[in-house]
Amino acid sequence: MTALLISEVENALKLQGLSAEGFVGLLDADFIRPLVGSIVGPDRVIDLKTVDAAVRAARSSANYVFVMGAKTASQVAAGLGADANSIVAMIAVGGDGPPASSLRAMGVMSVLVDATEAALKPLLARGLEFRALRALELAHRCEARRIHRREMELVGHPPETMTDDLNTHQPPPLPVGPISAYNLEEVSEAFERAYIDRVQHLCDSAREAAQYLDVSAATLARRLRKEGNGVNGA
Amino acid sequence: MVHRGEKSKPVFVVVDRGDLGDKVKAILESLGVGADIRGFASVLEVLGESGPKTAAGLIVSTAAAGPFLQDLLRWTDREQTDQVPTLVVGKDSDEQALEMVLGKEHVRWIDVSEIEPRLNHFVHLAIEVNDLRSFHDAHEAMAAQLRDARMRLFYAEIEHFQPSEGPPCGPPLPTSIEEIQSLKEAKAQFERGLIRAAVRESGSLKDASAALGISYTSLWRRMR
Repeated sequence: MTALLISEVENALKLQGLSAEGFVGLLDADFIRPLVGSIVGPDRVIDLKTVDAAVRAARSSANYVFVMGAKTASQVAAGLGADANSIVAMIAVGGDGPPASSLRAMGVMSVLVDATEAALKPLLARGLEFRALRALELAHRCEARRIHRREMELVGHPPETMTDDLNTHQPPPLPVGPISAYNLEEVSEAFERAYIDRVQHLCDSAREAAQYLDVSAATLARRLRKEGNGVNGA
Repeated sequence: MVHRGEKSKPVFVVVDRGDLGDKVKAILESLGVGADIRGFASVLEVLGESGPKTAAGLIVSTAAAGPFLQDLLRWTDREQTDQVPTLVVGKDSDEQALEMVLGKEHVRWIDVSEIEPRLNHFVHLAIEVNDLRSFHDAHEAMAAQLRDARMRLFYAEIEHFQPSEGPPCGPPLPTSIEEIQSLKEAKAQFERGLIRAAVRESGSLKDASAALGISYTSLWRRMR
């Protein structure tokens, strides 16, 4: 699949530590599976099964481009809301849904009339590049936000005016300038604390958090003890 | 190839009739930071037409500012992201000046008798704020460029976009279950960004490894 991304985009992703792996999410479009599989490889085709699963995948950080039946594409677009076209590239196939102009207005990137490799491959490449640029954009926006937070802290604004939407601890931004601390161990530990804290807020229990973090419950407990944190929801 | 990031040179404005400017200069030299120091003997010179438009930091003595301190503090009090970090040096017994400073979060007060350590701390702070603002602008500009490009890509106005390198980013924190990466992956991503930041700032791998507290060999291995 990575061959569909131009090398400049792939390198930009890698440089920022982002995955360049891409996937095609398929929903209600079984007839096109062999063609998609032949372009991207069968292991890169993900069956999304339901509209909800597609909406979740679109909102995840994984690199997705969607190929869907026209009617289903309109349902997914509705599920994503007004900003559907700024989140994920959807390619609608088949003629059982709304007309192409309506689908585009709903946020569908393209409507595939001619289901051939020559027609589909550039669309998949475009969709994947769109998603890759979005990942890079989010990385820069998040870093800008962390930098702003640090700036406000230094200038002297009270922390309660700077909480984020989840009201959890934010990691420090990457160091800037000659005065910042760059010590790998020290700064990485601060990031790890913030990351674990955020995952705990998203999970119902410490056990679930450990699973998502891919560490054992004992390891997580040890790290939390070290950091002097409580366990949310456990 | 290693490049230092493009950053604006900080400008410090000092309003004083004594040796505050020299002290600031000495601190900046000890830090190895290239900065411009603009010294003024009165507030009116700063607020006048040929005065500075903004600064990375303002250091003012109440003796030089006199009754115009309030006007000078108003000059520093701008939009949140443009406020000028300010240090007022006066006597703790000067209640009138103290009252002007109260409630202004970006303004610090020090008594003339304890200048040394706190002036040093303030200069550090102002430099870091200046750097943060510079990087913040670079990230925002990059994000805006990427958004414009991807929307043009979406509507097939362009075929491809070649993103420039841009300043390094740490990984975004997850906002939903689906976005959670393993701790190992997230940490590795963060460390890659940190290493890029150190190399970018230091200008050489040797200096970067010293700043990161790891050996040159270890840095080389991690970069590969």
